[in-house]
Amino acid sequence: MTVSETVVSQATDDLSLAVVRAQSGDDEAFCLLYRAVQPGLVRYLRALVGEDADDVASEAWLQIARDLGSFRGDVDGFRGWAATIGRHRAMDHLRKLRRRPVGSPLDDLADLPANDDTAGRALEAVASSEAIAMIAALPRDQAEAVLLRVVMGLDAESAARVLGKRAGAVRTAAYRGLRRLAARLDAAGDERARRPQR
Amino acid sequence: MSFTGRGDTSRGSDAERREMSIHYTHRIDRETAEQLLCGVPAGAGPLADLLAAAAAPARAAELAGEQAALVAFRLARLAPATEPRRQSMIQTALAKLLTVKVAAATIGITALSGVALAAGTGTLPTDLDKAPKAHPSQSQSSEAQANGAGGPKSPKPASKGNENDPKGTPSPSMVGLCKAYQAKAGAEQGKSLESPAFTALVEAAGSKDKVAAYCTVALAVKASESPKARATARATDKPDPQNTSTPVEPGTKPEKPAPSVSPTPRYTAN
Repeated sequence: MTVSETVVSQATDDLSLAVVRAQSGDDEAFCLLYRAVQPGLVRYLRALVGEDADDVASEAWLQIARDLGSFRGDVDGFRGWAATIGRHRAMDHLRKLRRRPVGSPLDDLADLPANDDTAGRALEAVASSEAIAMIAALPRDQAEAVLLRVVMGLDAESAARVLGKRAGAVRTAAYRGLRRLAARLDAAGDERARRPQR
Repeated sequence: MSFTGRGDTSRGSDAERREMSIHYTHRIDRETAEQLLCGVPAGAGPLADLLAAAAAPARAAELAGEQAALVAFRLARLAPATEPRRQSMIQTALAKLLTVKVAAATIGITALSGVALAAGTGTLPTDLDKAPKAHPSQSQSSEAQANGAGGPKSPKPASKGNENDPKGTPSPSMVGLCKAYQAKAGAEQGKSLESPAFTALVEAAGSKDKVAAYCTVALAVKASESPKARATARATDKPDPQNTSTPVEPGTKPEKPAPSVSPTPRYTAN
């Protein structure tokens, strides 16, 4: 086991302990879980409900706080559980708004600020929100698969449970999403290379 | 951001052909993709950088809801230890937060003092027949159902616990207090918390400086109220001394929304 793997494993153990402690009512442990999971959750939800992701994540946390006592599992399970709750709340939200989920590339592009150069800037230091916006602009199944893996830290099997699909289908969707992202980054790099220096 | 078929007239067909060839030469294989998805550190190419940025540490704005989540967590914990009762208490507490509008309309001075009283005895969210949460069971997505993720949240015999509860009487509404609190102008808010009328609110929030965040919870979920939950809450929001002696209903109602609220079973094996 490498040093970094040990560190990650230690952090995972700590968070699994936090799950247990939070279940017995420990404020601090609950906050620890919140800080560990919320960023990924809200970024994942961004692909489903766009700028309403913060609100939907808040609703999800109300439910997580309420139902934590009935949850069984370690922190990896907790991430999957939280993602499932977040996804359900997102679907409720969309139903309430009577509109289709965001995620169609063309729909999304109009909402992105400075979308023309987002991919180009990704080559330098891309802010996480821009990276998320770029992933969220993928077809929805691909965006969800990539985000559940990358920002929620789920493995293919857990992501598949959240999405109600087979692990193989999720792997394929994530793979296609990455290929599409790579193509966009390539195109952006290509374009930048041809652009006059500023 | 759409780089395919982007109708950019300044780009010649040569450039498009070049872009195509780059796509093909840079095509990643499945193994590479899997590595990237498992978290290859930034620096391993543009795509790895992009994914690393997506998974970057939290920004402060992303954690803004921590206090609100903590308040919900505390509300859930306020319930006594017995499991069945705990469940319904938690649901009731959240239903309270979800029905802020109704509460604001129906709460009066009497209710406020009732709240303080109830809070003092540690029975904050008490009226157990009011659990309808703003998530009708049909709210599940079809995918979720196919998944079975919304599966059986073992319906607990909540009525047992309620039956023996001697103090599940008035309808203490923290949201009503929150409304009252927020109605005060800036500096007066702080002062108002000194008043005994707000003791319950301060206790529920944990401390005075957390009251504002506590009350934000109510606002945060306000928009998510369903008309059904609102109607139910309106019908039951008045203090009803009979609650204590009618345990059957309270026990059954809270379980109604259960299918949509507890997608745990898939993870129970972990």
